[in-house]
Amino acid sequence: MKNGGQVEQSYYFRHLNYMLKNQFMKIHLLHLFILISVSVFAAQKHTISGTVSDASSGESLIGATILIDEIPGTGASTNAYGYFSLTLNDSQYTLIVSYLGYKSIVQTINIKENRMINFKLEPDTRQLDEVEVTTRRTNDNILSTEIGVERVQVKEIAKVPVIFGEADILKTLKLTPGIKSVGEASGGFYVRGGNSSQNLILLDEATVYNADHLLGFFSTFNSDAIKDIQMFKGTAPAEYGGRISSVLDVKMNDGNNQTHHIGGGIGLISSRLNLEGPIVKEKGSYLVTARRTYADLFLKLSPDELINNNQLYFYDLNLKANYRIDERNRIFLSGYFGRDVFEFQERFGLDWGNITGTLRWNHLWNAKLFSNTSIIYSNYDYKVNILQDAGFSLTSIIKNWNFKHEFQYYPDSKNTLTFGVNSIYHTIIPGQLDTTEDSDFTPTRLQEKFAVDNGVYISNTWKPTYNLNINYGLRFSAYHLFGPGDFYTYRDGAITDTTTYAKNQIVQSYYQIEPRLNIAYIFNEKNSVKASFTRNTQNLHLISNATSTLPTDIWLSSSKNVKPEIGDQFSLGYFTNFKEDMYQLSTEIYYRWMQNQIDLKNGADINANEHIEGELLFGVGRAYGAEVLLRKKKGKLTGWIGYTWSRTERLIDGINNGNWYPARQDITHDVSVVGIYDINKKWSVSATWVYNTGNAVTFPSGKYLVNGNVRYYYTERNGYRMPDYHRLDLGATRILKKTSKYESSLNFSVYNAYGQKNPFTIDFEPDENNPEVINAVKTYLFTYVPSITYNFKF
Amino acid sequence: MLLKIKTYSKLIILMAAMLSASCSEIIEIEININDSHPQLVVEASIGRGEPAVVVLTRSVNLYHTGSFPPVSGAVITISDKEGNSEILTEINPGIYTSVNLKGKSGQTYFLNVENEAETISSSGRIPEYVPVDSFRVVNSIYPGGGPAVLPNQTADFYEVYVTYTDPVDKQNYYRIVLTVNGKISGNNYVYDDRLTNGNQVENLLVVYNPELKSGDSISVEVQCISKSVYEYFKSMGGSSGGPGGSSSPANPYTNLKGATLGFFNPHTVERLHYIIP
Repeated sequence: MKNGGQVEQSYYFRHLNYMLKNQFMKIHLLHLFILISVSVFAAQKHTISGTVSDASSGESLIGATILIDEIPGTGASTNAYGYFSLTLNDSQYTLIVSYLGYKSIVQTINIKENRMINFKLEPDTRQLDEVEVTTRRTNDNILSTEIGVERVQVKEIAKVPVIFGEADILKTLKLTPGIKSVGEASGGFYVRGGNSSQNLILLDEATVYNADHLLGFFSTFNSDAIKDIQMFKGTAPAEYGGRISSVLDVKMNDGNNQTHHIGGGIGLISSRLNLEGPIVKEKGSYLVTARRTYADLFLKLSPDELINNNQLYFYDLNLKANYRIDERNRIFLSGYFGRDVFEFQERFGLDWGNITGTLRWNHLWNAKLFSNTSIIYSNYDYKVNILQDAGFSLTSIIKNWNFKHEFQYYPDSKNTLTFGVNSIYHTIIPGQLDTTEDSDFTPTRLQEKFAVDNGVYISNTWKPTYNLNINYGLRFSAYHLFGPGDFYTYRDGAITDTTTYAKNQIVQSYYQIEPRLNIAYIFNEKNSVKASFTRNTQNLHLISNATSTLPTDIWLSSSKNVKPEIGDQFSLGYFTNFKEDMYQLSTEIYYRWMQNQIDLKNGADINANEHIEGELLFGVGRAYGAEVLLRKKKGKLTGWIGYTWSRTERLIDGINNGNWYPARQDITHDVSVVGIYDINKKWSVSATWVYNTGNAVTFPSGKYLVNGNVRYYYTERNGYRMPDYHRLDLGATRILKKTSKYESSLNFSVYNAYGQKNPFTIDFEPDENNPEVINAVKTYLFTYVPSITYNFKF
Repeated sequence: MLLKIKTYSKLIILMAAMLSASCSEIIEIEININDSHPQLVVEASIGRGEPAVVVLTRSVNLYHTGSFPPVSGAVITISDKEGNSEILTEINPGIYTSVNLKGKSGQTYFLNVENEAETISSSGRIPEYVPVDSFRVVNSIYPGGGPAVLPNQTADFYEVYVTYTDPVDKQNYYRIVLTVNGKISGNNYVYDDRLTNGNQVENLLVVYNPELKSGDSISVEVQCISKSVYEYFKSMGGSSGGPGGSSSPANPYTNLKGATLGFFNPHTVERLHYIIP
């Protein structure tokens, strides 16, 4: 750890300085942006601003809408902190404040001065068969500029059946078009042909480097702690940057600022506990959410030493507190701690985990200018322990400090500007090998890597007419890799140059301009078309020597050898609602081009390898496809049907003789059906069915002999397909008791209800009796997995 | 060592078994495989103090049942930097050896194979000899020791320990050829000294075989090999496909020019034998 802290500090302040100086430049840029779109009116204008929150818990509501009844198409929606601002000509207006699942507020106000109003919406507890009385804006999907965005409601997630009965946002997201996993029990997810390392996963703005528990059986997100989930499939606005494939933005609950609550769940393999309540009523609240699996506790009961001598568990802890200092200032502190521990027979140990922390300050400069300042910390590390006599442990860490200063400016009812700076200081400790005294291994510590990723961004959502809604923006990023240490240049795996750099000396810099454009053309309240072009770049690269994401994968910085990954995506979509917005249908097509893609030579060692950059292969990728999603949003039966047709290919120097080949996640047809049916006040049932073409896979086409052993001859990369995958899951929820003070329910689920034996692997093995005969052998993991969970809240 | 991480799919299966009552199961399935063009396979080696041996065969389709056809009548030349050269003699169909030329440490050898329209060449140097410090075989119930858990458990594991002292001044690569009752193991045991440079290194090879009995033999041949041969054996992947597999399998990186399959291995030789008492 020598000098680590010192380096961090000096850089942090230097870049803070840099950013402050550039505020001036930025404000000029800002004026330029507004000039493009602001039309000047002579009439007197005033601003109405405030927040929208849940009346019972005080949780701010993200994306709630405030509509002006008198001027169709005019309105505002709340930002990530529940804040809105709307500037209108002086007059009397009817405001309609609404959010899905809540009773709308209709209020007449007379605007002749700036006003601040905080709306508190009551949760809508009416039974579904009752007649709806208030109007509710349910065609956001038509009017917004959002294309390539998936949202799932936390309430919805709780009812979707999943393996082991553990509600999981990632598993539910994977049931929507364009977001895929490859088989069960595989970590990571693939968005529109990107790799799983190309997804930016944020929890309260902090990067989560590995979103999997137990190698992919669970995700790191405990849905008890989650307020809002948004997935951008390559179409994120300019405030996001750093990964080329997608952004998964997860926001934690703030905690109930009205009353104290305890909630939780007891399941077959894990339990959850959730505490929340006011610190000072109305002003501040806290949230503590914990989860732990206990499969290992049952293992201990086994008399078999092969079983009871193992450890396997994970835990999660989400903490959050917030306090409203006054009407203009609010602070938030949130943290996440999660760890997986796996130990086999006291011989092999592997543990890994994420730590994140976010300190935020919301400030209201005036009714039109909102800012949020964040200091964010993220850390991911893993440790491999070999406990036998030649013992050693291998540790690897990636962490970052991130300073983010963002403004939202609401000049008038037609424009919303978002602009800011952000500076990330990365530290990568690629590998540290510690050994026992009698170990064969030499203690090794690979050179630490330091890098700064600075970004300046601005974007505007502009609504020039009723029919047009445009979000355009730019992100400029400057990435610097710093010394100290020796940095190598490789050609064909051999070192061609070695340069020694001093501390804080720049080794390599990369500058990128990333335009982002989303346009919606709205035909009417029910139909719109949208188009999007975005560029994203990525300077941190995940290197894996397995086909699935592993906790021991290695993060590499862009360097002399590794160039920034660049992803460009065009997409086009048609959105329509029918039957009073009961059904939403979206159809999107996309084409994506990816540069500077990275793969690894066969058999390369990635762990504790100083020369890993010499083991890399480079190339390009392309992906295209069509996604159709039909959602039913209202009624007793809700759910969706999703279909994706897609192609994902790579061209990498040194693989497949330099020819294009399908990427592993190239899945041609993908269907998912999700249905949730509320039978009555007590019972609801649900089902999901998934079907997809088998993923691309490399099988041998021939065989030959080496030293008397059969070896396989491969003619092309990923030229074969796994068998088609399909599975039905069923779930049921019985509400045991529901009063205003106490709620409890039982959740039943069956994973893989018809027991489909979907292959986990397919191997080719010589027949035991006749080695001249080769058999294809499949291994599958799960048939029926029933589970039961008891949930409570009081 | 670090490669243990690669037993990932087994880890997953184990986790699935530990998490869920339904265990994983292995079943045979039918997978359609395309025909492949037969390839010439060259297994060429020259050991320190030993003649050059080249085995030529052809690859066959995956589901082909029957033997692998030997390739006869090829003209194979081995030569060294000092100008010594010899055309190998075909002693059995597809098996060629040198008669006079024998390998020397530090010498570079050139291989040339001419067969019909195909010309294949390669070259390589026999590294310095690193002696084996010790060789021992331990019979156990579990690898690493430990008492029996179930009744009537027998010691079916044989732990083969091979120890050598890695020279500090060079990059060294080693290969251990494990032979049980005359049958060469299909596992590729290759090692580098990236993390063990200059140390005394004890490598453990585990044999599981319930059928071994008194009088049976376990042998090792310890070779010092070149980097390219090390990479050949290291990159020889499995045949696994699907989400649980390791990285996409591919043909190993050959050090031959003009052929896809096979290798030319100039190496040192130390052979050690163990007879089960």
